[in-house]
Amino acid sequence: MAYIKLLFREIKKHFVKLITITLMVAVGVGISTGLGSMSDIMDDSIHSYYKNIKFPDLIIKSTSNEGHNQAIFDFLDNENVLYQSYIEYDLDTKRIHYVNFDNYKLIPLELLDGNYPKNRDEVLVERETLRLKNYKVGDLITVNGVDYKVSGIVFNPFYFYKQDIPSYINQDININTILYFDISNFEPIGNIKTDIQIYLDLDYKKDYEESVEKWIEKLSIFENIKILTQNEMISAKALDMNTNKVRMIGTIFPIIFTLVILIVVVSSIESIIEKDRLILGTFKSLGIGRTKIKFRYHLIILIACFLGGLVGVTLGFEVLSKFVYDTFSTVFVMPKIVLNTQVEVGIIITVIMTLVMIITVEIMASESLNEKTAELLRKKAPKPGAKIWLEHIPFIWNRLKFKHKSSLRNVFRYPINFFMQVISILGATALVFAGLSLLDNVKVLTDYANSSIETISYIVIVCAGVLSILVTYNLTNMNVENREREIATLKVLGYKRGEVAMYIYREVFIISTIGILLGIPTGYLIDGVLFDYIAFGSIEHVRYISIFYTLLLSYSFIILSDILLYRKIHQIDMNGALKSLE
Amino acid sequence: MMRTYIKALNLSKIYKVGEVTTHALKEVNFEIQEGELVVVLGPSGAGKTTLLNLLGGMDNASDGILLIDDKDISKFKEKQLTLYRRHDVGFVFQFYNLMSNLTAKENVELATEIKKDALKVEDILKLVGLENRMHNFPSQLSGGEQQRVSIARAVAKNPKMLLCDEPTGALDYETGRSILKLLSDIARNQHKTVIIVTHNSAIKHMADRVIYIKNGQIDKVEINENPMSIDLIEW
Repeated sequence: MAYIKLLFREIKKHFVKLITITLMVAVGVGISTGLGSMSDIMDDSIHSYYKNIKFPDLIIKSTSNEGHNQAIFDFLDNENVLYQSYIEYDLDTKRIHYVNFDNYKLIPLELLDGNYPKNRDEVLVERETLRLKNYKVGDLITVNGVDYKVSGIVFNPFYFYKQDIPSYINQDININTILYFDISNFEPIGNIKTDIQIYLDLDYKKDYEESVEKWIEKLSIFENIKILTQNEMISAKALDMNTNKVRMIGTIFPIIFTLVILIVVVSSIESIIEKDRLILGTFKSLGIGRTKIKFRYHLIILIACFLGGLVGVTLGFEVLSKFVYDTFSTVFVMPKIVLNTQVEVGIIITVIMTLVMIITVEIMASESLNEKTAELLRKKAPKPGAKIWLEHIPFIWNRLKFKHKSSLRNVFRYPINFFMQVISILGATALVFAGLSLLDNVKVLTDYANSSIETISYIVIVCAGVLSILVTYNLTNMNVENREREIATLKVLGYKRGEVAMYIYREVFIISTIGILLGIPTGYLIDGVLFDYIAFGSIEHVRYISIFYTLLLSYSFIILSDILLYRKIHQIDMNGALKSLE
Repeated sequence: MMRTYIKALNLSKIYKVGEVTTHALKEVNFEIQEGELVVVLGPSGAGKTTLLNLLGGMDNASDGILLIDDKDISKFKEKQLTLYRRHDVGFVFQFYNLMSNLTAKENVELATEIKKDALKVEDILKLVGLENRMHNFPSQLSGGEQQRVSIARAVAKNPKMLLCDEPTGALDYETGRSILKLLSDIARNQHKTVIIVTHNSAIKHMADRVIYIKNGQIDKVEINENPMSIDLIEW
């Protein structure tokens, strides 16, 4: 019972750290879940839609003026394949379809307004998009010198991409009007069918490419045909490119985020255990088993990881995924989202983080517990003060003010801590910068994948920002907690509130500045790898102002942490300076 | 001409923790003359630390008056208390409280930095006998040497009063004696009011004035007309 009580007190004592660790786990898991599962969600949603409307897997275009040979239809009938044939050609910026309105076997037109044509002088028009012109029912459209009246507006799912539709004749020409006539309008009337859409009813997850490849081989016996796969159909191709970039970004960023978070969290745990030496010693002297002693930390970790994982998975999946998915509708007519609860990524990241933290506790706590109990009960002698490398450059050192010398010595005193702190700030800064660089590229480049990258930039920037705040807050907080006695002493000596705070802030500022300044070149490195990997963007397009924004954000976070922790510094009791070293 | 430097009138301190009320000091009255070496004696829990906190400007009294140098510091606000600690008090800690990454000299500079009429750091380190150790870090100094740095830090601010919390508590017998010798020299030669708070009753013979404190009250006050030199005191 007393043990349980103690555990609760433990949690209370490390509450701020528990919360920061929880939030960091949540950020890592959230971004991993949100971005990591995004491409799968898109694939699932889009392919279930493809199946619903029977989106063609192949299109066979005839390269002869006579259209398709009857043999090919016989072959398809014989193979029992679902297909529909129609006539399609481009005329300048217009694309003209002749279809059989009464008999859709696949990918049906959806009537949005008006009616199907009743007379020969009536026509259906594809709905307005970012590139297709706006027509209303009753408008007149001239084709080959003949006026046709718009009887209805339709949506052809084949054109769910709202951006450029290049002409078949000349890739540089963009189609701005798509017209649908009844097949009976076509003159000369005959058996000419220029296009065949084929639906193969495949499972996109199971050897899709191979199955399609087999069909192409089977069809290769026919002459004068050109076969388009989905990858050559503009909408599917554009979406596929988007999905791929989302997949790549969704791999790179979660990895970097997770690494940075692990560094911060591990150093946090180290400082908790370091601070608890006396408690470890007391427990050991009372004969409490190692496992039981270590369980205190495992409990904190399990709570933090469980809550962080839960919040991260929920937010990442329910909010981030849906948000990213929704933004695709700016350039695609996106089907309803299919959420096949893709939480594996989030769970894997949570488990990795938990394991790393538990291992840290095992190593750190065991190291402490291996010391003699008497040693533990004594406070670890502070590392002796020592000269730092800068002092060997009298030119600089002698010019520094006393308080700056003191801060610099403190900063470089514990090289491992210093390294970890710099790395964590560096990582967070680099991520903010990478997000901003992506955004810069979106503004300069036009790419089929633009919209997805734009949204993901924002989100990366936001998550990196949150991470950066947490890292800075954690760093400042650790600095305050490790210095309680020094702070109390300074207060007794008559240092004013601001002067005491500056004593802490100055060091955090030095560490952060080193981290931030190294973070920007590191951000450039990440950019280099990222741009290369996703085949999008270039470092040249990254604007210098993004460096400025990164600095602005990073320093704002430092100031924010300083403000948040000002009270804590102020509340440190001067009596702490009178007590013995415990 | 001696003058009264400290005067406590019905000074009380009450701590409230939840529903528990503790009278740490109950209507305490005493006086201390300028330039005196004072020993405040009492067992632990008697209210010594509370008195130290009030004299040192680290806490406010709940009631009563605490005149120091003709100012009633019991009514001081936080900012005034900070300035009082900065200018008027030199604090010597039981556990020295040196910054481990600063050299002896730099630790003293930590105090002189914030005081305009501070004394020369080198002179003070010479006074405490550390002129050859000033570039050493605390870890390179013995306990007694560290306490000397702490005293140097307190004196260097050129305060009117030194407040010492069990200054020999962490030191061995001989070293403790040398520290007490230093403190009494400072009181005699630098004309500082030196207050030593301790539970070691043996050192009372070196004081001009001994204030006995018990259960939050002044038990008695003794005046030594002829304080003994520390060299003659054994315990």
